[in-house]
This record gives sequence, C-alpha cells and structure tokens, in this order.
Amino acid sequence: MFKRVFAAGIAASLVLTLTACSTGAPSTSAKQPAQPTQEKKIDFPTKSVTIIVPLNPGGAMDTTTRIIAKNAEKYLGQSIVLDYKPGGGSAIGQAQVAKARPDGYTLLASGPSLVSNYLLKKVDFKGDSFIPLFKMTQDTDVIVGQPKAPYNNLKTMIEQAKQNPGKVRVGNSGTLGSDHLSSLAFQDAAGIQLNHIPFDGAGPARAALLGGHIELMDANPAELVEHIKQGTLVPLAVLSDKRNPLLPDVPTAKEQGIDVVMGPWRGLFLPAGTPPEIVKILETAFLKSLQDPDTQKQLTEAAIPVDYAGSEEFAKIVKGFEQSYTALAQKYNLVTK
Amino acid sequence: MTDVLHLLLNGFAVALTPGNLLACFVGVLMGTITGILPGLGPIGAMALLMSATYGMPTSTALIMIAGIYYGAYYGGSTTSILMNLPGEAASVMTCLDGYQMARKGRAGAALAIAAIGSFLAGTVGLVLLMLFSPPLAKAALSFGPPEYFGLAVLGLFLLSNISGKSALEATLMSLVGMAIGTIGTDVVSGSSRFTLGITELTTGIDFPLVAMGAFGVAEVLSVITEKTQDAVQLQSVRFRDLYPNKEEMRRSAMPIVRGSFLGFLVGLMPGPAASLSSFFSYALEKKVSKHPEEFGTGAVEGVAGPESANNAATAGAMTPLLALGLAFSPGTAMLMSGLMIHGVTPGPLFIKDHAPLFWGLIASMYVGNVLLLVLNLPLVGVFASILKTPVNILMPLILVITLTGAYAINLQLLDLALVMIMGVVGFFLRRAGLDVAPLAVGVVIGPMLESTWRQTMMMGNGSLLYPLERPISGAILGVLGLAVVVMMARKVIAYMKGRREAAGQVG
Repeated sequence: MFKRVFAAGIAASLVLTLTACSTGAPSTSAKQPAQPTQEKKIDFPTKSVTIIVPLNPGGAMDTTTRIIAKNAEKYLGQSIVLDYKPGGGSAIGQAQVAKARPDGYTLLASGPSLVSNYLLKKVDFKGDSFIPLFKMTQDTDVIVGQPKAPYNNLKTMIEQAKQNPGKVRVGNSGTLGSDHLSSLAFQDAAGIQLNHIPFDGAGPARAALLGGHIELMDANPAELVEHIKQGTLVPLAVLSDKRNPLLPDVPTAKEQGIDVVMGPWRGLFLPAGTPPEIVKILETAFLKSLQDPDTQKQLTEAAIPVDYAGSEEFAKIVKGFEQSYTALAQKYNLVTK
Repeated sequence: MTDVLHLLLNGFAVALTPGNLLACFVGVLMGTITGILPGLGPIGAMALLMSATYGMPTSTALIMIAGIYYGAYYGGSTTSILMNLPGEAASVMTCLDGYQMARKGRAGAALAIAAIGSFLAGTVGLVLLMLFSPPLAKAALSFGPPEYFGLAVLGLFLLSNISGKSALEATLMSLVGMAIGTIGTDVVSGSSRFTLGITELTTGIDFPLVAMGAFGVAEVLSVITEKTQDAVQLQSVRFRDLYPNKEEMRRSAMPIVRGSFLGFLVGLMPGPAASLSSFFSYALEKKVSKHPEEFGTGAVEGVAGPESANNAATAGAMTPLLALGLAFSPGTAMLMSGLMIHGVTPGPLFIKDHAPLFWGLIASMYVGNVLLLVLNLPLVGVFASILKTPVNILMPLILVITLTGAYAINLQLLDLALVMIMGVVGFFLRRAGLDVAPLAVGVVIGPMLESTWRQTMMMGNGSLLYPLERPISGAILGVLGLAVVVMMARKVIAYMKGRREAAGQVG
C-alpha cells in the first residue's frame, strides 16, 4: 500500500519535473493579452534573448556574433545568449529558428548558406520563413592566384581562360558553398569557363592553391593577407564595390571591367510572423551596438569588416542573393532537391 | 643551432611565468578529461574556454587552448584499453591490443606505455616542429589531391593487414565501412546520399559514433550474452603489475620511435591526421614485428606505436598552422580562430614576426607534455582498478558513458539511435567471427578515397594517367602496384608448386 503511494508520488513528481524542464518557449502567463495594433510600449525583452548559431563555435560567424551581441546587451537591457546548433550544413539550426515562436526571443545568425539551402536543397523551411533583421558584416571575396601560374593580373588570367576553356582550375570550400557560387557568378560575368574543384573546406583549398595544384581561389581576404604580403599568393581582384582596406592595392573587379559584386554577408534573422514592434526594438539595439566605437574596435581587431545594415536594407541584399543564386542554379543545374 | 637554443630559452622565460604555467596546467587537464570521456572531443572544450580567454594576453590564451588540443590525445587511450571503447578516431587502434592486454591483467602496463609513448612522441614531434617547420610545411604543400589519393590507396592496401584473420574478411569489412562512410552530402555534387530525408544525416555519421557503437556497445552486448563470465582480472592488482615490466618496455622502444616520426609526417597532411597516423603505425608495427601473430591478442607494440603516432601527429598538425597559417583539422582551425580573435593572423611570417609568441608556445608545449606525464602516470593505478568492478555494474556504466558521450557530440537524439544500431551491427559481426577494426578504418578511408579520386580526375580533366604523371603520386602508386604484382606472383608460384608436388606424389 505504502509502496504504491510512494511510486505514484515519484511518478507524479517526475511528470511535473519533466513538464517544468521542457525546453522551448516557456509557458509563462501571457503578459500581454491580445495586442491591439497601435504603438504601445511593448514589454520586450523581459528575459534573455537567444541567438542560434548553426555552426560549430570558434569560426568567423561565432566571433562576429559574439562581439556584436555582447555589445548589444546594454542597449537591449537583457542578456543575449549564443546557442550552437551545428549540423546539416547549417540547415538544422536554421530550421529550428524557422519553427520557433515568433516572439523575438529566438534569433538566427547565418550567412548566405540560408539562401542556398532553401533554394537548392531539401530543407524544412522556405525563404519566407524568416525576417531579415540586421546585417552584421559583409566580407569581400578576393580572387587569388598563385605565382607559378603564367598570369599575375586579372586581364591575362581571363585571356588564358578564354583560350583554354575548362582548363583553369579554381578551388572552393565545397560544392554549393558561397565561394563556389561566387566563382560561378564571376565566371559568368567574365564570360569564361573555369574548372571548379571542390575541397573539404577552405583550408585544404588554400593548401592546394599554395602548392600549385590549382590556379585560382575565391577566398576571404583576412585569411590571406600574410600570404599576399609575402608574395606566395597573387591577388587578382576584389569582388566588391569599393577596395578592401586590408588590400588597398588590389583593384575591384568592377574597376577592371567585370561587373560582379559577391561577398558573403553574416546577419541576424527572426522567424516570420514576429511583430514589427519587436523587430524594431531588436534592430535598434543592434544598430546602436554597431555604432558604438568599442564594438567597431573589437571587430577591426578580429579582422571583421565594419559594414552593417538595418532590416530593410538587409532584406534587399538577401533578396538580391536569392535572385542571383536562382539564376546560377538554373544555368548550372545546381538544384539537388 | 645556437640561436634556436637562444630563442627557445627566451620561450621558456615566457612559458614559465606563473600565469602561463597555470594556463598550461588548466589546458592540459581539460584536454585529458575530454580525451578520457568518449565522444566529447577537444573541440568542445576549446570552444568553451575560448570565450574565457578574451581578456587574457595572447600567449596565455594560446598556451591554454593548445594544451587542450594535445592533452586530449593522452587521455584518449584510457577507455580504449579499459573498456574497448575508443574515445575518438585516433584511439581505435589502441583498442585492438590494449583491451586484450587489459583482459590479461596488463591494463596498468598498457596505460603506462600509452602515457610514456605519448610523452616521448609528443616531445620528438615538438623538436621536429621547432627545428624544421618552414621546410617541412613547404614540402607538405607539394601534396595535392592526387598524392592524398595515393596515400588513401596505401591505407586501403594496409587495411587487409590490420586484421589477424583472413584478408578477404578484412576487405569485406572495410567495404562495409566505406559504404557507411558514403552516408551524407557528397563533396563534389552537393547531393545527399542515403540520408533517408533526415537532415541530421546530411553531414554523415560521425566517426566516434561508429567506433563507440561497433566497439564499445558491441562489447557490452557480447559480455552480456556470454554464458561464462570471462572475469577480467579480479585478483588484487599488485603495484608491480601496474607498470610495464622490462620486456614490455624493451619491446615498446622502437615502436615509440617509429610512431613518433611516422605520426609527425602524417600529421603534416590535411585530413584525419591523428587517426590515419595511428592506422599506419599499427600496420607498420605488425609488418616489422618478429611475432606478427601476436597482434590482436595483446602485443604491446600495438599500443606503443599508435599511441605515440597520434600524439606526434598533433605536433605535425600544428606545423602547417604555425609555419604557413594553414589549418587542416577542426582542432587546428580552433587554434587559428583563437589567434585571430587576439588579432594575430597566422601566416608565413608568423614565426618571424611573432617570435616570442611562437617560442613561448613551443616551450609551453614541452612543459605541457611533462605535466601530462605527471598527471597520467600516477592515475594508471586508479584507472586500472576500475576493472575490479563486477561486470554487472561495469557494463551498464560503460553503456551510460557511451550514450552520454554520443549525445555530447552534437546534442542530437538521432546519434543515440545510431550508436545503438552500430552496436547491434557490431555485435552480430563479432558473433560471425568478423573483425570490426577494418570497418572502422573503412569509414575514415572510404570518403577520403572517393573525394581525392574525384578531385584528381577533375584536376586532370578525366585523364586516368594524370596521377601517374606527377612525381609523388606516381611514385606511391607505382610502388603499390609493384607490391601487388609481386604478391600475386608469389601466390601463383606457390600454387603451381603445390600442384606439381601433388601431381608428383600421385603419379
């Protein structure tokens, strides 16, 4: 008799504990009853905000998000926590935010893989599952060659490529990665045909380039600055509107007549359906964080470009990427759904 | 040579400051702990501590994070030897003979040899790193996809030698392993293979899951179903038994030396350096041993070689990072981000421009290796006595540790299912008398073989002769081809001889 009561008590407490500990948006009593659509003082945030980072910690995305989030805490009034959910080429973390409650407490930190994922692969979310909130930074890709190749500027390289279609080898960090798509966009704009060799990440691709096994690569300038200074790698063009301050002597592709601007951005997203007032509050906090000279100093020290944008402008940028990726996908038959 | 010594002494001045010493100790301690716990790798710990290092001076931060990295390879052998449960890919080879030594009551000896070998190899690797980084790193650059393909074929060739039993069975197992390795996203076309629509599977099955399942869980299932409890040494462990006897030390000497150099060289290459180095070392030791039939039943060379190799490989992996700014593995990539966060971009001029940082790091790695030896050796007794636990408590404990470790990798519930599936598969394979080690190796070598082959073909525009046209890959493949021809010729000659003798006897 006692045993049964005891067992029932244990079971009951287990059930209660499990319910209380269940993750996901906590079911605290609703602070706001159904909001009428007027500019009221919204009580947000009242607890810490989580940014989901769909990659392993330690990378550039991590560093960027961490610096900006840390400095945004004082403007937001609550702590911001980073939650790492790697896997599936960022798709898992991205899907999680797509399905999260649109209450402003769950954000996503992502790069263009978001766009290539929903356009080209089978994933659990669509383009309109997200609201672009804030662009944290924008990298500018640089096309580099190596000294053993018979060209040291963009023009000669393009001529060589035209004469030998499919022979000039360009490495990338993996098929359908943002640098692969950038290389495709570049070859389109230049009217040439390159031989794309995929590697398991940017590191091995760079090694292959240094060793002379491939001729070109589309890469992040911060990681190559030392090599360029030493002369072991030869920069041909920067794929951005303006010259990159890390490489002031390298002309942009536009300057040399090739109209292509491609550079992976890193930004924050919210699940679709988040109320506009909450979007505004978050956007303002992050804008202030980036305007803070302290934040800018930390970013520059970590070799991250200070190039931010608010929600509307960011949405336009993302749309632009969607369009160019769609065009590339159709031309090169990249869809793997 | 004298200025190297001079610079090194300056480095020690940096490394031996109280703050840096403490950082070193914390780093290697965390590394050892994460190494001992199966599944949890050094990457997670490095990431955690990375945020703590923001406020620290660069050298302190680097010393601590590097400590985690190479420390992890000291602890990895513990569960391999005691429970046949490899903590990470690099410890799989240690399971083969280490666990058998434990069953014979030589667990302490195995653990001690692993620790000593790791220390010596780590030191040798450091010396090579210190003296030869720039030229070695440049030489490593001349290895491109065709050369890695040659290495992968070499690995494949050696696979049939790892198992003590028939080469045919070993090949079959490695093919199964390679099939498992294909699950995930294809590097070249970007399409998903065998993922059954499950997003989590698009990055493939993590190797630790295969190893923990096929070795650890399968072992637990086997012990459970054994009618007679094969008591793993329950007599009181005497102090003398805890440490290796003279014979074991003597037999381990050369494997440790060979393992150090081999490990360092393999560590220079991209890819799974530590695991490949332990595979190659095991195969090498088996080939040069005077009693190859002992391998798989508790030959101490099978522990000394691979354990030394995987530690030397960490020094090897750091060479391209420090000399050229190239990070080839997740561990070194972490180190690289650690540096970049502190505003230091590793590149070809790193050693020159940041000499105090470089030499401080090298000196602290010497210190770290000593600290690790001091940490691990006395604990050998503690760990070995874990085996005194009655089997019916030990087995569930192992299961819990395995599942926790499996979950810790990616915080995915799917991984738990995968580990259990691999465990059941491994169990039945064992019942059929098949050896699981080639399967594990196949999971690593398969993807490498496939992607390097395709990269090579893309680079050569489809020409089959391309890998043979390049000097290094041509040499590797040529030698391998020759070896295969010789082997087959021998078999044919022996067969003909046998037939002639039989005919002579009858006729």
